[in-house]
Amino acid sequence: MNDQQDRPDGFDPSRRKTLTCLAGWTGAAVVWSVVGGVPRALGATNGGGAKAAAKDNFTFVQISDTHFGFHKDANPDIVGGFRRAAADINALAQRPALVVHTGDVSHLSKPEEFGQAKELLQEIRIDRVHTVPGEHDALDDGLAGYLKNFDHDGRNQAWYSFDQAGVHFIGLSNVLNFKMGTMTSLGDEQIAWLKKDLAHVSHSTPVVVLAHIPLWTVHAAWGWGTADADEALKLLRPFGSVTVLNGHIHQVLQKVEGNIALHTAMSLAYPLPKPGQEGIGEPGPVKVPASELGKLLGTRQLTVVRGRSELALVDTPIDRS
Amino acid sequence: MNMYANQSTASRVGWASAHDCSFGAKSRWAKAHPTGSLIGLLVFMLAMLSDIAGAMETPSIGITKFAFAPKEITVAPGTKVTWTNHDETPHTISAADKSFLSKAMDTDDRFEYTFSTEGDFAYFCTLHPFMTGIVHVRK
Repeated sequence: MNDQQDRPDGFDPSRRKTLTCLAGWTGAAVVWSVVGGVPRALGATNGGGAKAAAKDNFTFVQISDTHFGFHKDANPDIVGGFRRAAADINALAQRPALVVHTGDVSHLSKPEEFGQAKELLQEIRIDRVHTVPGEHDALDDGLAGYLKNFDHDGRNQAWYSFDQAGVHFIGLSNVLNFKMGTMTSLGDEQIAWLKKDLAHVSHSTPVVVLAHIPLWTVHAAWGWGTADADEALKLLRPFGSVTVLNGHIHQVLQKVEGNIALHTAMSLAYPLPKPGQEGIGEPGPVKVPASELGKLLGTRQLTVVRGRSELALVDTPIDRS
Repeated sequence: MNMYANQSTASRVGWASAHDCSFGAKSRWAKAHPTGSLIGLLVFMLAMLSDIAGAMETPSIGITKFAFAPKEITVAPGTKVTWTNHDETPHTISAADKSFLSKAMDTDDRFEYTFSTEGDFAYFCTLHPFMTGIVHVRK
């Protein structure tokens, strides 16, 4: 990620400068706000808190791609890394209202992996953890195993919505409709549900959308995108503040389209290459020296700042040495 | 594993010690039946034929760096094809026409499918649909 910011050709409309504070890490967290796609620092504090995040603001945390059950060379200690992340979240100056997990909770959809996930997620001192499934959570029996553990509203559906602190949260699933040679999709049934769900939400309500695979095309050749994402984004355009939170690509990228800001997050399991990275032909786990790994894994704090359409984001790697 | 079981069955019936010992099998048979040179020749020819069949019987496709290799193969009807995942990432084998579908294959996991009818069978990985391959089944 450091490299990414150092790239001389770094400006790419689909891959704007990342929000991670890795490159300029000095022991203090920098809060970035996004205005028209250009990240802008709001302020800096110690310990990952945000000056902008006054006590009456609503703050929550995104984690992603924990891949519980993964035990290969790219990260032999997933659990240890997760516990560092949990400690970071527990130490936040302003206690987050909830945690969202943007998928690939497990590595192989095994019951014991979901069980371990549920146990470990309890180590985060938080009332609610909301998840959306990743494709690793949908192996063999579709989402049956996942929903046994993470059915958030008892509907036995992977997509759902809820309101908290005046924010409308929507969880989507784009990990079941894989068709040969194309990117994944949300599917007509889910788009129809989304339309119905949004019909009851006022356009001034901030909307946060969770989906595992990016809702914009990051790199089609690796399937890093959602074929029918535009159908969903079309429904979201009338809203004044839309924040789409994705996982899947194990790195921080962002794209802003009008009032819609789309962000991918770091993983807590292992790094993946940059989109189409030269010399790497496939999106498989990247082995980095042990001393580097924790700098590429991390969590994200988001704060809804009243009166602003953009959420304030802080991406915090688990290793800040 | 089943494909090896298949071979040992073939060996038992005597004419398809296919892989590596067809000559040995022939000469042992010939010693046991010194007057059966014509039959011996027949057995030898059958062994040769089954050598060809044997080579075709167990084609294996590797999965490395999110790609099937070979990506395209041609086999005879009745051929069992084996896929082995060499990646650290799980993959699946899923027929475009849904005629076969593997479970998620972790590192070193294998999947086998026997193609009984002629046709062109395109397949992909349901986790990474850009990974595609095709098996042509021809008489």
